[in-house]
Amino acid sequence: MYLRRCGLDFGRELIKGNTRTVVLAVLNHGSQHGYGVAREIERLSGQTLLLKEGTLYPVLHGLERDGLIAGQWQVSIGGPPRKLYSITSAGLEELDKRTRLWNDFSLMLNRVIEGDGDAQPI
Amino acid sequence: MHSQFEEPMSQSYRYRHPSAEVEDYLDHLCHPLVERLPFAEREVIRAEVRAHIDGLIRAHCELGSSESEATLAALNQFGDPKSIGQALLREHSTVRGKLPLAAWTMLNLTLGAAAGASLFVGIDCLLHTMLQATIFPFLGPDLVFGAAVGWVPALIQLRSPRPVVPAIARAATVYAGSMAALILFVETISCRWSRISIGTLQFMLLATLASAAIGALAGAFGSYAQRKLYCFAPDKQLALRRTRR
Repeated sequence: MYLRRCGLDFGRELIKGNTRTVVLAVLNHGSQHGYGVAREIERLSGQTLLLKEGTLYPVLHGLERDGLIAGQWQVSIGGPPRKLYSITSAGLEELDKRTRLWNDFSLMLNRVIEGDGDAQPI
Repeated sequence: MHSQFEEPMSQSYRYRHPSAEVEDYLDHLCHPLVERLPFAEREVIRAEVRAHIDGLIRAHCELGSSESEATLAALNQFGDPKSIGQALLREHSTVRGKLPLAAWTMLNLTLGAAAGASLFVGIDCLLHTMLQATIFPFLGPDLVFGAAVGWVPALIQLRSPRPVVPAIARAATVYAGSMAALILFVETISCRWSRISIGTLQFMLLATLASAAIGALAGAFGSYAQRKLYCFAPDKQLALRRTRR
């Protein structure tokens, strides 16, 4: 996964650690199959956040194993069956936790970058 | 995990993508999973990835690509199949995928050595005199037990629903054979040296080798049986044979 516009080397590592958050956030907007998750990530990031789509599946399967999302097979007419993923209540809690952590981290990083040493602890 | 897959999977069990490139790609993706995940679980993964690639191909076709161009673009977009397969294996493994290789090896060594030592010492202490005198007048209990214990991991392997067992079974088989050799060697050197004849020594060495060989055979049998019964679906084999004809 990488940032197309920025082309920054650290973008890959930055996103790699947050793929679960990204997937949970997408599924929070509605149930999707793997293909739909990839398209939604592209759409919501304004075609900025691109990924090798196969890397989604280990993440999806790991989230499912941990009970954060649930998969349900759907038989489609004229095509192969697809597995539809939905976020679970445990997944919502995890997403909330991750969102707060991310917000705190970005706030802290901004303070460091801006040199605001007198700020109150988060 | 399997129950929700059974219905759609049974309907599409023999579904294959019309593009040979896609099936070849799926073969490479599933290669790290062979002998690690059951066939049914691999088929579920194949079906899911196949559906995604199918969607990508359709999207590329709608944008004006030819079928072959769309397939290549879709596969490239999906990523390196082997690394995806390995990442999937890590997510689906129970213990092995979570431990570094060194830690896993040490765990196997410790378990194998401890199990082998305790079993052989136990059988020696409890049954040596009785077995030697009555049931096994010609074969020592060390040999008999050494040969028998090799079959335990093979049997466990046959019944195991998880991919972590074959590695333990293979390690345990090796250690059972090794421990048999070690104990017989130590007994030969320390306790029985003064009472032992050259003929008996030769017999014990042969017995040691036989014990290790039987243990190794048991492990090989277990692996073979696992491949045939657990990771490879007989009806898929039949389907392939029909296709070839």
